[in-house]
Amino acid sequence: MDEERNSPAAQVADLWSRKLDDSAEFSADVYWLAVPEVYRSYTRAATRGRREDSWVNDCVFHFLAGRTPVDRMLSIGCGAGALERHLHLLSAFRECDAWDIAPAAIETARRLALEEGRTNIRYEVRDANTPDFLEGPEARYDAVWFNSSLHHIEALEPVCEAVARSLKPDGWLFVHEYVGPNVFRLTPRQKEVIRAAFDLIPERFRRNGPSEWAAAPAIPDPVQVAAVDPSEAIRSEDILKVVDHYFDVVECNPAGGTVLQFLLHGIAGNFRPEDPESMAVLDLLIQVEKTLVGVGDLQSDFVLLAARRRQAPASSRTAPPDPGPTAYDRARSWLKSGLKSGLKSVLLSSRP
Amino acid sequence: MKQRTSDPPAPEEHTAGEFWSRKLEGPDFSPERFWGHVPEVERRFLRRVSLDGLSASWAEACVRECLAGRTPVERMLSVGCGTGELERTLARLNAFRECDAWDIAPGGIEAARRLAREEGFGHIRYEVRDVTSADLPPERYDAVWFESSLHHIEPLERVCEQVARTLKPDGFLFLNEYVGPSAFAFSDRQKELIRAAFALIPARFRRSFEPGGPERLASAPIPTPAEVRAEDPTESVRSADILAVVPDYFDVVFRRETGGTLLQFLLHGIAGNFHDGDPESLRILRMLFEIEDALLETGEVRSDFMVLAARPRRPVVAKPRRHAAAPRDEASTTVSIEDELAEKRMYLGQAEQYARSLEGEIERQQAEVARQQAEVARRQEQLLEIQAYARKVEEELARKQAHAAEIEDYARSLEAERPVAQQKLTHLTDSLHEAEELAAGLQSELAVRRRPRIHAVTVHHRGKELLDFCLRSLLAARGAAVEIVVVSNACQEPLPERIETDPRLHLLRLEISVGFSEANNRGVAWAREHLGEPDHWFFVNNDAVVEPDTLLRLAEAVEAAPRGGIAGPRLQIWGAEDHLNSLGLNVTAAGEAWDEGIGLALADYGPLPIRREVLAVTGSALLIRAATLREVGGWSQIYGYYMEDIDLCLKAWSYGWAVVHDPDAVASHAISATADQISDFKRFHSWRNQFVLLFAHWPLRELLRGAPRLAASQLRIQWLRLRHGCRDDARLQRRIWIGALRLLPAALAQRRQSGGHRNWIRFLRKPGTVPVIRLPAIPPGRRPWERSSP
Repeated sequence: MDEERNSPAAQVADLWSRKLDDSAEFSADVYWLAVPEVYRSYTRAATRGRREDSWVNDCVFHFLAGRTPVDRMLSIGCGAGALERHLHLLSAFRECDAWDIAPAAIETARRLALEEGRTNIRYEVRDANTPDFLEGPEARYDAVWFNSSLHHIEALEPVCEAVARSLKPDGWLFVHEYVGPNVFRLTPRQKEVIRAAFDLIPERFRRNGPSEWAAAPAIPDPVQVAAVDPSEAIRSEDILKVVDHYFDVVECNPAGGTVLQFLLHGIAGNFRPEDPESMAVLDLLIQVEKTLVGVGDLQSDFVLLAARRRQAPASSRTAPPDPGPTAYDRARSWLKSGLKSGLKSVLLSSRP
Repeated sequence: MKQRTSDPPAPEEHTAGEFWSRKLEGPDFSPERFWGHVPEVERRFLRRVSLDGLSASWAEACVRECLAGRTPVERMLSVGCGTGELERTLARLNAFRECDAWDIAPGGIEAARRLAREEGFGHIRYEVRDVTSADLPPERYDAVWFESSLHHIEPLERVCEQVARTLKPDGFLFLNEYVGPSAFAFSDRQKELIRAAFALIPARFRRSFEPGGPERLASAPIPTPAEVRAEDPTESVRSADILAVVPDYFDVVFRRETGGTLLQFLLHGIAGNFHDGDPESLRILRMLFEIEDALLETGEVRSDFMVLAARPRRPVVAKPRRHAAAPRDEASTTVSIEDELAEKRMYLGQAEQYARSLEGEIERQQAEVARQQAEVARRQEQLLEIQAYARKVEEELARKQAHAAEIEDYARSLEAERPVAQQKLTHLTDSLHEAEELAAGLQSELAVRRRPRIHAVTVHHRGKELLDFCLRSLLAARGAAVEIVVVSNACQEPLPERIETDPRLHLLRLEISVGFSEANNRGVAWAREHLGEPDHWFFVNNDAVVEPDTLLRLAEAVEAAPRGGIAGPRLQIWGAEDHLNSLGLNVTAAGEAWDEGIGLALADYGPLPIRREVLAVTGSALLIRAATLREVGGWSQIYGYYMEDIDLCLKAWSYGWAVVHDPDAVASHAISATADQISDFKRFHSWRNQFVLLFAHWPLRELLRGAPRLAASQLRIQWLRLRHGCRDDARLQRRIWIGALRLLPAALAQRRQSGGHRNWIRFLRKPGTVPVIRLPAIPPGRRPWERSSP
């Protein structure tokens, strides 16, 4: 029992049981996408300029246009269930399955759904890294959604294969994901740009506490990232490659976040519509990211990807892509050593 | 501003003029190295200068905004004209009749002259001339222009004064200048921003066009002030003062911030990477614009470049007088008359020609007048329509005004009613307060009245200290109005002083000892007579103490149960309070009785029962509803001692009352405090009363079923006693039988008084199930009976 509680999976489940959508970590004071202007620009990029209210609306009204309500959807890594409630509002489905690894999140999602009288969403606690994660009949879903969850999954290939099997022939896969560097190990150029952009922000917009000002951008330390959440961005770099192997990708729209995610972390609350000067600075920062991603100087860390089930039978395909023993094993071994050294540093620092 | 070059001035160039002559021809100002000449940067510059977007140069924007309707003006001056681009632009706009243009660099002037000639502009006069030492004639020029030259001038005040003087009163000064820190001594923040913005430029756009430099620039080439001065001592020598000095001599008409704060050095040497052939480079450039614009907008930095228009402050100097015509020579008069005639004829011819042209003009004007008359007619129609509409609007307005007047009347009437309403409100509020006060008073009175009245009766024979404890605990009772009657049952000892002093304590002295029941009954009778009928009676032994809330809890228990009549507390052993004395009484079908839980440690007993109905509770501490006591007729006197509590409870049951035990009400009882061990007296009474109880209450069938067995066991024990020589016990047993038989008639009489309900039968235990009772040892010093005085 204790072993189970200390396993990475249990740690992740526990972490995400506490980290729900409405927790302080996702407030507009600290979280970049909670700033309306940033979210609008992000959504415009993610939807090729079709909308700026919500990428979910775009998926439903663009890709599923004329088909809703579909029979059955699946949301993997649903958290507290905001996505399914949104889809329900749009009458996008008749029934929906929604899974997450965190029991408390599922509990909240159930409660919220029931409070609003939504009885056609079935919530379950499931771990995507387990082998029988998606057992059941083939071709039963019209759409499968990953909303910021695929980058927490290590077993990308089995999960994608299972999802491909579970999709109807005309079904859609929607992936809204972080696909940047594993464990947030940012590229040197990315760090350079974030630091430079941070220097451009006038000091009065760098406030990150009642009387505190950030001295430097919040560039994450991969060791700490892995120690806090072993599943964080565990194979995010491989997502596009693996999804492309199992699905026919129709659109893969870079949404940005390469700079802004970290740049605005903790200081997002400084940028408010009622302060036009702050909005001018924010526009500048948005423009910087958009331009540098646009000219290919930086990769987009976030994408919105819409894909269909491969029309050719799976057997005719070549072997699954080399799961990248380099990327995969590198991530694993690095993660392990990272955890070890992290642990070591904790132990050393706790010594008197 | 014109940019410094990377190679230092050659030694032979001793003057700034020579330096600039060479420089202006060179590649320093190519769009590959100089930021200002990048086409996209020029477009942005124009956007910032020409607000209506119609002008193609800053000069055109100035002319449009300040000299509209006056061009061509008589005369302009361009100071620091370089190769003369500005004047040629103005000439193309036909902005002047004449223009003076000066520069200290002969090379520049030469080129300017050549270029002007090529375009056929003969009305520009170029001169190599230093403005700092010039004395300018007053009110000569309609406009004076500085393009990137004022920031090279050290005696700013003198030049400004001169320029203000030489301008006509309605003339203009136009500047397009670098006005940032002198000698490019930028603030740390500005340098930080330039470096940060440079870091944002992708590496492939950092290719250097600087000859002899590195292939790519690693950082923005910001010069130190010393480097700047070493290369060109006049470079931005007092640029930071320009904006302060100019307003001393001029009234500023407009200022257009044209940026450059970051871009000037950000793009220096790499400007060639950004050209219209590479759309991605333009995206980067626009991002850099965006950065500079936002930082200017937030006031984080100031614009280093500025286009400015200003008018001279009036008056600068007095207007010089015009010279009168010179007197003419008489001799030449005739000639001059003929000349004049010829001249006049020529004028006449010109005038005729002019008149003809005027005729054509008149025709044109007449046509125009006709057109305008048609227009007037059309306008008049429109006017009529508008007037009709205006009438309609006026009517509507009148209606609305009437309505508004009505509303105002209504508002006034409401306002008039307001004091009355307010008075009413005050009155109602007062009444409400009164009612609230009354309600509060009633509530507190109710609270007092709700306290149950309880009369406690305790029978006292001996043990003054214990009685004192008992009374003290009763007086401490909370939530009930308690009166205490102490029945002194032929007590020979002194009584606690408390009885004399506390008004809630009442003493009833009996000189002759009577039984427990009789004493209790007398106490009740006395209390009824002197204190009135209470809600409940509480009978308590003088060797028991209660918790402060025990009485209230028992009263609640009685009132809460359906037809609750009697309630008993959880009795603990005084001195060993972790041990139980009684959780109610158990009685077997054969009339054997014992206390539930007696002698057991609380921890051993297990979970305490909840408040429940029981067959009987012990008379050591017992609360009974006054109505119940009246109905059952008080304590039965036939028992003398022991078992009368069971009798009381059974009588209550028989009249349809319930007996409950509440484990949350707690009292402590001193076991064996008043009688020593098991005396013959106790055995006689308890065994005899067992029979009396059977006679008085047991249903006949139960009695007959149990009798043979009871008789057999009694006879067997008696035979064993006789056989083993326990003659005293045998004698006692005989006395018990006889005593029981004697009381038979009284018991039967009582049986007839019973109420008839028999639902207590369900509580009876099997005969012979009496447990072995072990009382805990009470440590010395905690024994309550040892507290009694000798």
